Parts: sequence; structure tokens; C-alpha cells
Amino acid sequence: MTFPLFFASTAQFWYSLPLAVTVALVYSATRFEDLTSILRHSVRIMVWTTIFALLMFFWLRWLTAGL
Amino acid sequence: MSAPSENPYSTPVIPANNQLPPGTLRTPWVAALLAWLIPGAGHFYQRRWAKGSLFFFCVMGTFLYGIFLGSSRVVYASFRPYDFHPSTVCQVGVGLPTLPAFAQYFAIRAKQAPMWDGFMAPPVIIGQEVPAEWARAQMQRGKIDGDFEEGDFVPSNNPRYMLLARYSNYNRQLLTDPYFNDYYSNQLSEWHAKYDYKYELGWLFTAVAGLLNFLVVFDAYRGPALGYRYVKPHPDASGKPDEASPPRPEPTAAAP
Repeated sequence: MTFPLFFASTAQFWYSLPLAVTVALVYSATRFEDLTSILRHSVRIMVWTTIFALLMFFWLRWLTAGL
Repeated sequence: MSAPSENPYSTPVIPANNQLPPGTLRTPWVAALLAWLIPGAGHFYQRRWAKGSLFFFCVMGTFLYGIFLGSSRVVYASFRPYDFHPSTVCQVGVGLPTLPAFAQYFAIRAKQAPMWDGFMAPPVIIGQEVPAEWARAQMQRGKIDGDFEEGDFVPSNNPRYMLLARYSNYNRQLLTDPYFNDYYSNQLSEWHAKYDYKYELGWLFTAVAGLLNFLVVFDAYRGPALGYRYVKPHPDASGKPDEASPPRPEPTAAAP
């Protein structure tokens, strides 16, 4: 697959950004009461969620590369 | 003279035991009920304004964005055979905003036409009886403006109603049994075709909003799960014996 086609197929991934932010914020806010702790915790969760999703994405791309 | 750290006007009041001050949760079950009905309302009731606002904007924002993506069709309640909508279980977590979906479901069960131009109404499935006037109006709208076209509805045994029907591709037989919803196009198929992947995304966003609000309900009932603020765990708090420290020597008898 050429690069332009590759990025065209990943454009829908931007929808996951608001979802990741919301989930991280709400989840962290149910862990702590202090706003500073909530924000720090949510940033950590969002980073880890994004890394995990990217790893899964590239793993699946690698699995299906020959199909 | 008190120490500067004890002045409540210059430093934030952080409980010494890292828990919410007593009485913050007020009547927990009332707060939980309010939190379910309207996201954040339980925290407003407990005067936890910052978290209430955060929950309201996050949960309602996600729910409304889902509806914006996939239209109000992504939220509906249906427990009919061949049309069970499992995401209703998640979406109902948002509370009152999903109330129209249940009003529509009971209207459909009573063989009434969908209200409010089909807002949060379940899809019409094969074999479903709908008021004849409504069916004719839908067929007149056509597929560009609506979801049906001429010939989609056929007369029922009762002249007041019409049935959604499909012709079999195999022997051109008219199919009106709900069993064929799994194999032939109904209104839900039209929505998937019309909104494409955004229908799936809208479904996902509204379902996630409902699931998040379940966490909010627990927070209103019991308070934050891990304490008032993040506290770095002490290295000695692991519960394991400290292997680095040398064993204490046994007391020896005093020399004579």
C-alpha cells in the first residue's frame, strides 16, 4: 500500500482522540478528588492508552501485511 | 500564633487522612440517583462543583457528539425478537437523556407511529405493523428524504395498519415474517448505508458515555476510589520484610 493510501485509511483514527481524553479524564476523576492529581493521572492514562492502541495497530498491520 | 500551613485561607484544605471530609457525600443514594439521571448532578448536590462540571461536560459531550455523528438513530431501545439492541444497556447509563428512546419503544409496541419525526425511535422491521397513514407518508417521502419508497409497506389484515415487507430474491415471494430481518434489509440497514462508519462511531460514543456515567454514579455514592489526592507509596509500605537490612543479632549472655 502506498503512503497516501495508508494515511487516508488512518484519517478515521482522529475520532479516537476525544474518546481517549474523555475516558482518561472521567476515570481519573473517579480515582481522586484533587484536580491536580486528576489531571496528572489522566495524562498518564491517556499516554498509556495511546501507546497501547498504536502498538496494537502496528501489530495488526504487520499480521495482515501479506494478505 | 498559628503556623502558616494551618491558615485555611492561604493553603488548600487537604485532609490529613487523605479521605473526603466527613459529610461531603450527604445522602449517598440520593447523590447516586441524581448522578445517574443527569451526569454530574449528584456531585452538584454534594457541592463538589469542579468534579460535577467535569463529569457533566465529559459525559454529555461524548453522548451528544455520538448523536451528532450518527444522528439520533444511534440511541434506541428495542427488545423485540430479531431486533434486540444490546448497546441500550450501556446507553441507559446516561439517564434521562435516553428517556425518549423508551417512550418511542412503548409507542411502537402499542402500534403507534414514531413520535418527533423518529427521534430515538427503533427501526421499523419486517412484519411490523405501523399506522397506514404514517406508512403512506413515509413512502411518499422517498429514500432521499426518508428511509422507504413505494412498495415497501403492504396492507395488513387490519385496514388501519400496514406491514413492512420484502420480496424474496429466491422466488419473489412476499416476506412479512420477522424471521427474515436477519437476511433482508430493514430500516436499520438503511441507517447503516446512509450514515456509513459514522453510525458505528455514534453508537460507540453514546455507549461509552453511558458506561462512564456508571463510574460517576459510584463516585457520587462512595467518593474517590484512591483517596483525596495521589500519594506516592512509601517504599516500606510493601509489606515484605526488608532484605537489605541485616538481621538483628541475638542477645548474648553477659560475660562472667
